Amino acid sequence: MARGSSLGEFELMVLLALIRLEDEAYGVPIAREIEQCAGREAALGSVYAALERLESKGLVSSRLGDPTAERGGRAKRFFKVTDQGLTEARATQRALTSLWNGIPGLREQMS
Amino acid sequence: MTERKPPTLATCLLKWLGVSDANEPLVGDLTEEFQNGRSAAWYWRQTLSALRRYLGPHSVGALIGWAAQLAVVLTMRHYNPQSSWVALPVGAAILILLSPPLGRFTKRAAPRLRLRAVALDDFAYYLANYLMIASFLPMKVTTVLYCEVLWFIARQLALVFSCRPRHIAN
Repeated sequence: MARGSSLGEFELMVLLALIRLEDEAYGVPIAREIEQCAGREAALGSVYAALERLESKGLVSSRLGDPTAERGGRAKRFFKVTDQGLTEARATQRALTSLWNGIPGLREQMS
Repeated sequence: MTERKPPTLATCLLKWLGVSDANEPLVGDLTEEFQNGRSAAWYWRQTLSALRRYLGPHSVGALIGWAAQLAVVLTMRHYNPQSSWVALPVGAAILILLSPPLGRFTKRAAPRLRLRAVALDDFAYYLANYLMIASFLPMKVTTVLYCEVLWFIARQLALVFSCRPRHIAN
């Protein structure tokens, strides 16, 4: 994991959902992706709170889109993973995999 | 397709109490999902969750800030026993009404520059306080200044110990 930063569980899920969505994404598809993959409801407020934390760490960037009538004239806020975000995700994956590999008993139980 | 109207009170709470930059997009996302068939109960659940998420970390600071303000108002009353008790609830109501829009204004005015935002916020905040004091608690200017200094210290302590962003802790 990169020095000086740490990702909480939900932040990591949001970051990975954003990477899975590939292009720029806003709150609704990110929440749906988490719901589909993790099987748990993701409150939009929690998603935005996590995205703001990720943005303050420089792991994602955002821009405002155009307002649409379907949304009551409100704009979407599109998020994108930064290079630093990708690096952080890879580092987290390595760290978690390394820790996971160190628990053979649990691995056998899971398989 | 018939357009459904999301729960008005929930939307107002989000718009009024939301202090984040994400507030408008969040309301837009909720509206979009509601139009796509989500229920009013879902909308309310999401609203309450968002408010808890945004306001929760600041509630301690807000309580300290309010306690400090109450202490200062009581101090001012001690100096000026002729002043009306009406000043207390009226002043509190004014601050409650003024604080969210002032906070949002200052956040928009300087979204990336925290120091500038804080300075602007403090200026707007103390201007509002001064107007309240000048309107409801007529007393010597030096006493007002003395109380404002106490108020400033109490508020900054509350902010330092608990709050980001600063502008909702009062």
